[in-house]
Amino acid sequence: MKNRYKLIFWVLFLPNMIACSTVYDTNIDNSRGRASIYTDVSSVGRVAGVGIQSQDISAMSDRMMRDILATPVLAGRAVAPRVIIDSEYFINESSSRINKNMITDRLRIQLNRAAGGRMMFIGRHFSHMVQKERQLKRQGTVDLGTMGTAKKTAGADFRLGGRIASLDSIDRRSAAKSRFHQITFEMIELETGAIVWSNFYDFKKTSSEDVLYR
Amino acid sequence: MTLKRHPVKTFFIDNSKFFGLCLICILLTGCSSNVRKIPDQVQAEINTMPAELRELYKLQFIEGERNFVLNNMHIGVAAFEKGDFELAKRAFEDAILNIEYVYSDTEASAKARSLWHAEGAKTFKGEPYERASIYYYLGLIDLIQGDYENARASFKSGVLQDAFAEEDQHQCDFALLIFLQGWASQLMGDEAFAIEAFKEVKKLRPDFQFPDLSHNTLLIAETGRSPRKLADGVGHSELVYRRGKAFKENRVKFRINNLQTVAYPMEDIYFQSASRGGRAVDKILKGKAVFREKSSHIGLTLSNIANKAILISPLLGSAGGVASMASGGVAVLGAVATFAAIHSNPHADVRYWKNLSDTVHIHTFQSDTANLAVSAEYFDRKGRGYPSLTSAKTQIKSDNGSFFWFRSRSSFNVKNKWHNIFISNK
Repeated sequence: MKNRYKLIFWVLFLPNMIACSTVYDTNIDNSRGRASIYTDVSSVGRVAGVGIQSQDISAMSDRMMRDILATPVLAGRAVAPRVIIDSEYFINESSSRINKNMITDRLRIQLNRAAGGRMMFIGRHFSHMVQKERQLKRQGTVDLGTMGTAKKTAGADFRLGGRIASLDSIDRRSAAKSRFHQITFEMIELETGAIVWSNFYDFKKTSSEDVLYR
Repeated sequence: MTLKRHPVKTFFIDNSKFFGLCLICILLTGCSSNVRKIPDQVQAEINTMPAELRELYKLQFIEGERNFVLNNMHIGVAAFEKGDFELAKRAFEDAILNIEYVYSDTEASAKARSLWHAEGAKTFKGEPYERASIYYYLGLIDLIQGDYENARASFKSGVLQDAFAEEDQHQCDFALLIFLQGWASQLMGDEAFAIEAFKEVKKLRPDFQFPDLSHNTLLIAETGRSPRKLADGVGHSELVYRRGKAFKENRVKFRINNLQTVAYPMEDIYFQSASRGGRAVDKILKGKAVFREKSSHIGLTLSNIANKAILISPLLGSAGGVASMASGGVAVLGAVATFAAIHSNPHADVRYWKNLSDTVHIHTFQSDTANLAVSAEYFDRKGRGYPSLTSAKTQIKSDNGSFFWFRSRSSFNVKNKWHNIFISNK
């Protein structure tokens, strides 16, 4: 009789004890993290939305670079033209927050490496740095370096302008959202204002949120 | 005459030491499961944060991915109020990364969709008005830092979050964000875009006055407390919104170099929350509530049948034994159905952004930014003032224009009631 009561007690007690010690943990996410790993910049990756991602920046700068190098007005001149490529006139009108410098820096660097002297790039975004050093040299604070001085800093022949625009659409029933991006690149001749080269890169992404978040 | 001792009572008295030990074990187990030790390296990182935000960062660590967005929302506003815009930006950007990431087939999502877990098992991403508010604060930070293009993009993205409102007339009607799009455009010289945005605001707010294109100073004042989410209905499966509690101020007057002007109440955040309309997940919760009701009903019915069978089995003679066994089986089924009913969980997710405001007021004007003194005073609808409300204030002056931000209620005191954790770093 006593043993039967003890058995009943343990059958009832033990599950509750286990439940008490674990019931709190079910409310708290204590999942293990994942060690960071290198991922290819041109791959889609695990974390994705409808905005601009690394694979888009990689693909668009690659395409623009090839196209610019294939344009005789820019890359086929007898004297290497001077080109400014920065984000000063690259306007974001889209609904995607982005650091535009990622696009223009990548394009400039890839072009500089691939052009092989056919084009010369002006670092207008470093003009403060250049002015400061020129002033130090002329004040006599520092020596003239190994290349002597120049009367003026280099003027440019062409400058990059562009625009990032987007178009959003939403299907309320399925909570699918899509965003179309059109990123235009144009090279402007800085004396006449002529557009000597232009191209665009476009893409559209669609996603549908889990029903829990609709 | 000897008294007959009750066998069960005797058993417990005879084994009192054993049961005393068991009781101590239960208590110790209960206690230990509630204390979370924060690792030393995490505590060291938290100690580098501003003192007012450390408890929030502790919560973020303890609550993990499930409340990551929610905790970042709280941290972001508190850091913004403190004037630490880099910290605020980081918090909001981290929140946005998680919001923009489309959750599919995660374990947490599967749990929340299942019968046995509440909607609150899912990783929090906020309702549309909360997601839009993240973009609002992020856009303000971009404005402060002079990044007008990204500010405009943030405000645009915020408006898009409002696109999921069920009723057409409330879709994309977050007038504050549309106004701010126009303001960002005006600051960067894109007048055409600015005018277009202000025209959209005018459709939503017929009494809105276009800012003059020469205006370069923006005043924003936030009053009141955030909208609340409550679970109502059968099994607490219906999500309802209520205006925040314990505040009366909902009008603002700015004092600009001793001249008083009434601010324009551009956005009612509670209205944005309540005009959301039905959610797709509400149907799942309703389904769970119906299952719960039916299972509970079945469980009761089966148990009643079992009880009746047990009662009449003695009357059935030899067949009574079979009836008794069958009734035992029915009783078990009834218990299972009741168990299922009790443990199915249709509870709606009532987590919400606690340090949002109730109403946002704005005013713009042209100033030379040199000698500008601005303060905010709070009133209710009847014009009664609340001078005791000391205003949090952020003030940024630049060549392009100035920005002043005020708040009637502090964003630092965020009490988290969604778990009962004793936070310890010992």
